[in-house]
Amino acid sequence: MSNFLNENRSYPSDEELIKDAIYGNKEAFGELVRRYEKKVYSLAYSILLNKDDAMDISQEVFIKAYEGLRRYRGGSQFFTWLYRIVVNLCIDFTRREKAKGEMEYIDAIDPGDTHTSFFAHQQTPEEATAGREKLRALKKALNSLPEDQRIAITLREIEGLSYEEIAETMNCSIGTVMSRIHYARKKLKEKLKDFL
Amino acid sequence: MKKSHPEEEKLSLYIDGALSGDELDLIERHLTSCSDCQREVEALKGISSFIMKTLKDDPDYSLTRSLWPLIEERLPEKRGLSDLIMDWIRPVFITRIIGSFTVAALLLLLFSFPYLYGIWKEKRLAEHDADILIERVEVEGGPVMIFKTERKLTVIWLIEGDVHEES
Repeated sequence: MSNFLNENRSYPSDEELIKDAIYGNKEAFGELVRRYEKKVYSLAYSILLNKDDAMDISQEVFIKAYEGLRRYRGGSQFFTWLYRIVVNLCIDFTRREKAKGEMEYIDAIDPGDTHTSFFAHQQTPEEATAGREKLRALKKALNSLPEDQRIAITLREIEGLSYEEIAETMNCSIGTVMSRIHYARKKLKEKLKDFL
Repeated sequence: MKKSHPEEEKLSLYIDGALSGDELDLIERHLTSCSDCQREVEALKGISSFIMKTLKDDPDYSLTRSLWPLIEERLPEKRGLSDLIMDWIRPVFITRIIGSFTVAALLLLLFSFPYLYGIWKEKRLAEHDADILIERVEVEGGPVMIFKTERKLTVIWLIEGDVHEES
């Protein structure tokens, strides 16, 4: 058993784990990964809307975080710091993929796909089809938004971050966040009117 | 009377609970009597719940296996004590070197200033002396010595004869 999970530190704080990880304790970092991997992956998925890309980016996020732990000053919450890395890596990834002309997530859901749990929540085939249609429409609508609006609305609606946390994550002012969320909602309202 | 509606952005802030004080009172009072804005608020809330519900129902949205085994094998090797010490020392060291050089340069400038100023002044005086023109001219009333520099002309009358002391 690693030394960071002893009796006195049965549930070490993030700060304690970070300190240990800085000194090369991979198990301490492993604990941080286990604490935040779901949040990091979900955010990456919400932005990229692709499972494989979200998995790759999530791994990159933690590797980058491990290498940059020393730069984490503790001023902000650890997850906000991680989220900033997620957002930056997703933006870089999106731009890279767009430049290669390979960004196409609208058809990420195969209409004939019936093996996923999404369609197995005791749903009738009709409900499952409706669910697929909703998801497809949502992904299409989110993909049509400018990148900064998509990220802002994702952080707000899906991750439930406050305006201050979004501003910190996106490295912009609260006013800019308000504006991005407002315009994103306006466009989504129009694009999703058939489902609302 | 035409009803004035609040800006759309205010309604967006309202559903996020980002308004307070007078702004919040104003919106709440307006909403009690404006069905258009009530519909707008409901539509905005509808978007929020639609996004959240639809995406969270997406099976790909949730991580199904831990990433740690994949990450662990990609992490750089455990760093030695010397690396960690160097990590701490390097920035401090670089800052100190730059700082020390700056302070040394300033001190050098400060202490050498009187010396450099002295050299400059001596040189300047030497140039100044070189400008002086001394000339003896015989004029009516006796000889005069003329000292001429860039800025002034000094004339000294030379009076020949005995010096009488007054009692």
